Amino acid sequence: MDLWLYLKARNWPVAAGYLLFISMMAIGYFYNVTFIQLGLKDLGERVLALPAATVAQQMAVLALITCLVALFFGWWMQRLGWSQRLLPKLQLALAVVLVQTVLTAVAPHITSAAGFLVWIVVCSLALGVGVPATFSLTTDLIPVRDRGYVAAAITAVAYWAAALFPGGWQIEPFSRAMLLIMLPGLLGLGLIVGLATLGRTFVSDWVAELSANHRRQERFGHGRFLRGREGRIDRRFLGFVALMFGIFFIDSLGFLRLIDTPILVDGSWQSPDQAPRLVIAITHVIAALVAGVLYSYEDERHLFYWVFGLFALTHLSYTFSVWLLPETTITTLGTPMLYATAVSLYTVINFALWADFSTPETISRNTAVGVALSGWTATFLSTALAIQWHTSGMPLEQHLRLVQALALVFFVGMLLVALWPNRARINTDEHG
Amino acid sequence: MNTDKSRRYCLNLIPLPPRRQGRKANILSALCAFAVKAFFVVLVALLLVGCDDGLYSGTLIFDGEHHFTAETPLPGDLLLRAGTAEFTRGSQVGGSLYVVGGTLLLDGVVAGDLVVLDGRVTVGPTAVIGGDLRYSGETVTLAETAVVQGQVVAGGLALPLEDQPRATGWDSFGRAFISALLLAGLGGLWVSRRPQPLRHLSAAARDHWLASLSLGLLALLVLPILLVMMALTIVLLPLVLFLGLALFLTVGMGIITLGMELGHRLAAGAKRPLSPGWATFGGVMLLMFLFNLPVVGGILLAAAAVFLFGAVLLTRFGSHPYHPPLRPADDLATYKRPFTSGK
Repeated sequence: MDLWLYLKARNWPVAAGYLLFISMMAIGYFYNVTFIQLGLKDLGERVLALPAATVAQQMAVLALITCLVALFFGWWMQRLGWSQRLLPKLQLALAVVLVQTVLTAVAPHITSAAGFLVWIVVCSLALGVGVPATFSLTTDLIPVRDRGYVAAAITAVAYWAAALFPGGWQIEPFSRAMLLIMLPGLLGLGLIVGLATLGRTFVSDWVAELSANHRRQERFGHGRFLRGREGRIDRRFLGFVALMFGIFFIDSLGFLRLIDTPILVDGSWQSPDQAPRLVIAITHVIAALVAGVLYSYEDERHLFYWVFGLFALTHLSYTFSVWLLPETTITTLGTPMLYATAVSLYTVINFALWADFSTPETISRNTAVGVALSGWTATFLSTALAIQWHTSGMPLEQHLRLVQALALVFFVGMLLVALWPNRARINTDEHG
Repeated sequence: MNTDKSRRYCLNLIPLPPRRQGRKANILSALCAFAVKAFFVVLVALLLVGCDDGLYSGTLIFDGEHHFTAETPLPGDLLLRAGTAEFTRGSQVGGSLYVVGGTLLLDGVVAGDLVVLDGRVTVGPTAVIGGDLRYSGETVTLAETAVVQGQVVAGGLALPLEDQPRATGWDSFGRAFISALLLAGLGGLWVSRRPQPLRHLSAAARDHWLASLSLGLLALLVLPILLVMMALTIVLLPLVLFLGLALFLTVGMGIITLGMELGHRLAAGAKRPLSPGWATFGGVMLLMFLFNLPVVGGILLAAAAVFLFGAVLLTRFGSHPYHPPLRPADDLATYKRPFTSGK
């Protein structure tokens, strides 16, 4: 691990860069999985008493705007050359955190459907800018060899906090908890960006030193999956976007229904007992660390086999539980643990993958395409579809079976792709 | 120095043995092909045996209303998942009744147990249960004149498994010793004949222990659930046997590799060097002794299984050496700050 070598070499600026990146991304991800994905649903359905279908439509609007803004902004950052400049990226991140903090404070006080829609539009604009701005910090702050471990740390922290979240899954406790985290974060980031912008301070020296990191192509700049390419959006890149889209889609499609099903969720995620939630939190952390190691040691294809295989198995297991014991609360933790493992695994991949398909010149555009098209679009489209299926009266068993079938289709598709001759490997074999 | 001897004893320097060619290779490949075909024939035969009338028969109800009378006896077990099943007076069930949902109205004779996990069950006045009545919750209504010939177990369902008598004393020691001897013998032969797969495995476990540990953890978390799920699908049941066999081979291969490494290290310290085969034999025997120690042995075996399972997967059962995709770190000086690196 490069971090130990930096610490051993007393290179504190780079080590502090790790800390900055992990804390920013972990808080950002915690915000997304709790406040945005679950809090908004609660705000729309419970607080504003909007029909579930309306909430589903507005979530789809959020996804669409976030995706379009991220794509435009990522491309624009690349054109302006901000993709390679650390300070503008940090300034943008500060602006995004500021807007999100205000939105978080305002959310519980929204009383009308129009206000909800305006909130969603502003939020999606901020998220759209935030995606390329924050993800493109990777080439400045995290060496290629450590991206899996760093992604593991982000995932572990975010899911640990989310699984052990003390309040209910409602907008008010979410808002209070988020403000407690975001306000100090805003202050800290504001201080760093302010002092770096003013210049002639130790912070500006630090930022200047970090901003030179991406020029060290082998260690920071050149992603490990490029293999000699220039970070263009080619067929291979789009193939991985499609795979990640599939993962996010499958996950959200299943999860939104699971958390609406008391017999499945009351025994695990929303258990009144702290022990099951602790077990799930620990599973998330261990699985994230395992995923971080595997990301560093395994071929990218193998990682995807694991993820799709795990999702198929998880939903197969849920389907069996629902099929065999339709009226009983499932209190065994085997399947939720399997689910937590699959989720941690793909989250780690998502945090590291796009930077490893990019160069410093292309990272803002590539991460925007990767995260926006796969993550945001898939999550919210599947959220909308899950709500639609639920409101149209689709039985739980059929819902889970469809999710499981989708995961199996991807898994089998991946196996078929594996049989396709690997051109890079053939070339290596032929030319020694 | 005798070249042959040094080739025999320096484990890490032995080159890959040349591929068997000619007649021997043909015989070997024909035998392999026969073994694979025979395996599938045995699997199919096993499945067909399961279909033979009288060996096993079961009924699964997951919807609708079903009435059983004296004219429609059930030869085997019945699993009620949903819907309604009614057994009138004089009806007969040859096996056991398992209720995991739905409604059961029983007034007939059940030869085996009645096990209720969920659903609503009414045991009528003329019902006779040959085995136990086991249920959880308060969803069973039992008529006063109904007969339960076995035990009535309410709450906390336990699987109706009979306690297997555990081997103790010399019997236990004899079994453990013979299995250790067999594994050690196999290990010694394997290392003497084809050491390369085991060396790939050993190198992966030693040099990339973190990756081995992680992959092993993940695989061993998934595998038991996968096996249970596959067994439940019925269609994939033959694959469970195949995977079970693979798991057994993996653990055996892992123990032999660990024994080889242990034996090699111990032999290196001895005054009189041992051949790789004998060193492995000794190493595996020692390991098996350690694994059979009470408490500590189980923990050691579990740790070794996780660790070596990952190494087996990384090297694809030892067929390839494992090379991590990311190169190891450069010189420490390159990690220093640019303006302090000259100091």
